[in-house]
Amino acid sequence: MTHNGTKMTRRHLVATGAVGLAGAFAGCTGGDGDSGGDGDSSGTSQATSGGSTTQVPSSELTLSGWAADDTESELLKQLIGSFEENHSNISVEYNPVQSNYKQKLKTQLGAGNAPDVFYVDANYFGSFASEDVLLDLSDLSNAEEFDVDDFFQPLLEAFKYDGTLYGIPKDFSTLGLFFNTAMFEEASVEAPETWSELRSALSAVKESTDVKAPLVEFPNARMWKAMLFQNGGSMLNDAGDEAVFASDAGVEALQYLVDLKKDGLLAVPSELGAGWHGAALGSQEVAAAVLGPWGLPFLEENHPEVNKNIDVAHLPIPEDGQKATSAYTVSYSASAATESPAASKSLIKGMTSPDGMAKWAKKGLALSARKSHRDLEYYQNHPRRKTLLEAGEWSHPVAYGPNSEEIINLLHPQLEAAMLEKKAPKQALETAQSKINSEVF
Amino acid sequence: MAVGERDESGDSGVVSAVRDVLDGSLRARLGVTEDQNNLMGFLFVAPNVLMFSVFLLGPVLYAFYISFQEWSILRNAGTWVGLANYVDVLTPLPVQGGLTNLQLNTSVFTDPSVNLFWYSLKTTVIYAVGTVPLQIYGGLAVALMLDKRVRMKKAYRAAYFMPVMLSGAASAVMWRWFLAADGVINNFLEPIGELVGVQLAQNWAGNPSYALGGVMLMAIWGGIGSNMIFFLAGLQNVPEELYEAARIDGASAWQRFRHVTWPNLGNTNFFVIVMAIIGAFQVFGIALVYSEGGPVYATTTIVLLIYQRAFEEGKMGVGAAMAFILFLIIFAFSYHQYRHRQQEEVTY
Repeated sequence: MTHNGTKMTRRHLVATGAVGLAGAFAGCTGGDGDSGGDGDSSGTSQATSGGSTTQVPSSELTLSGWAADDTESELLKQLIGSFEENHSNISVEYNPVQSNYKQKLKTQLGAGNAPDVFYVDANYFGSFASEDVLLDLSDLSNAEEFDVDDFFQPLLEAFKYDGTLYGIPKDFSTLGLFFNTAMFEEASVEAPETWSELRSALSAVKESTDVKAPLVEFPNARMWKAMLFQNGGSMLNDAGDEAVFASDAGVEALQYLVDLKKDGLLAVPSELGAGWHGAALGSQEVAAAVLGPWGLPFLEENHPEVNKNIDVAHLPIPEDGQKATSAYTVSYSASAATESPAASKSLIKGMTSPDGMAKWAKKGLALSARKSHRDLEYYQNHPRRKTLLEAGEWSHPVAYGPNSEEIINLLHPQLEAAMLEKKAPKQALETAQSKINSEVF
Repeated sequence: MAVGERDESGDSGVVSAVRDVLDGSLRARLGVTEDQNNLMGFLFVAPNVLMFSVFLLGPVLYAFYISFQEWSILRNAGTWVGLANYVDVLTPLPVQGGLTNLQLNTSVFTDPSVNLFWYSLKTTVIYAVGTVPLQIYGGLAVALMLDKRVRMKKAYRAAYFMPVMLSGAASAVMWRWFLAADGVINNFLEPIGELVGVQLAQNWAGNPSYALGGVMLMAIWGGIGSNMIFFLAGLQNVPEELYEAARIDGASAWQRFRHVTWPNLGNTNFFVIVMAIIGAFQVFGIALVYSEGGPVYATTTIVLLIYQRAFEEGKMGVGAAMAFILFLIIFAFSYHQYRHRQQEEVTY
């Protein structure tokens, strides 16, 4: 499965679940939006934080992105509505794209009729930025009452190219360890903090419960990318022009996962009845999974009983290792060819302002990209999401420069080969690394 | 096959019907003379030619142009690189060494990291060899059965045709469930396996050794239905008197099939073979939805590779070059079939 595949799966699942979810979500997010307890200063802050009422000429903007479901696009429309209220000279037309978003956006950019402001996934951000199709957003770094330093640094870095800022994080997701507390209690184990604790916890769960497998992971070993960094490794060198993941750190991490699989402690979804981690947790086929916040609405809605037992912990790290997880993030960016650069920047600023971001994050599907939001009442009331949010500090976005997708397409089949025991981990990583270094760089 | 030939073989009722109408009242009414026949013809085909040129021929020619460029879809511009894309795709070649000591370089077919194009070509050829004969002769067998007096014939025909009406994506999702580790198929295989003492149940989609088999199974399942329809149509065209004559001569059922039905199905057979081969080389949707080209490149067919290069990685030039190489391969097969067909043309 390609990286794109993984993401697609994620989005697909969200989309497919959407039909069923929509109803309950309406209740959930509606309630949150109405209560708005923690956004007490919102009205004023929005009005001033826009701050662009003076210079921005009258403009009509188009905004494009994708929406997981109707409540998400409703929420976005509300945000746009309140932006328009505070910027009477800017009107925004929202055009969500249902499928093949990236392909459509690329074609629009090539044809010169792209929307003014649009979502860009970090995974293909590099290919866009390197082709000069994105608007330089450096101004926003110094914008008043925007507080760009409040964004998690790794996310902001993901949207810089050659040191220039071309996107502001819309939201993000990190991977955490989702585990079934009832099963862990049955096995008398606690949330593991290290790799060896994880392994012994999984063994104990296998012994004392009747799960099909204690842990589920995709055959392309999604969590390996986080484990590589935990173990002191890195995907690319500092200059970003050479793959270096086939280091001892990388090989050791992959070997760890392969060993879990060999010993029956880890299964891939196709070996289970469930197609992905959320479903496997929900049907109690597994006791744990390394998953992102998008798993939570699914569990809350489809498996409310099991959901009560699901807790989220930070990913276990090696002894003497460093905290690290993977992040998936999307930006608001603007087209370099927009006729209204000032208005576009103003819109991006409004959507990602402390207040706009707080409203957006209450959707619960992805996390606020702002550090200060750790203290939001919403996250106090949703500790699992707070755990995932905290990890933003030490997260590594899954994005590897202008050739990110090619790198991932070359890496994933080799990770699969190792996980399916067709190749030794060292050999698989070295093959991928040398292919990437000869074909991409 | 030229239009004229088809007229003589008698399977173009529409053309002659149109001509009859034109010969009669319509032509008189429109005041069209014999010489203006061509003009009328062109008018009839003009909408199709126009649509074909704008939406198919134009883009195809443009893609050919792009295949010599390093093309950026984002900038809608490229730089001329000559044959570099083709060289990139095709090297290392499956043969190496000079003309005098030519050696086969089989590693391109066995190791996807040597050259993914040749590897995916091998995958596609295995797929084609495994599916085309079964699609065609499975379709023929079903057509022969359902051409007879069978109870609920129409229901059977509809049932066999059903997969053709399903979208490829839908059937791929369905088959993924059937072939899942705890899917329906394994539920049957498990007890049988226990009886004979063999591990029959497998992780069909998740195992690189079996994943392509799942895609092939799907294609055969879908292909039988469409070919059945073509063969049923072909069977209606076999004159009944030939069978009568054969029966009078004492021909057995097999002889009647071998010497009457089979030669008369020649045209259908040719059409079905060509279409099946083209379809097999272009397999994409079911492989993408069923297994996304994996695991470990097991279902990366040529078109899937083109999709990844062009639309995921943005290497439009390389994608276009691959597409033209694929075109040449398909053209070669189709042309070969056509020549072969001409040689064995039968007339009564």
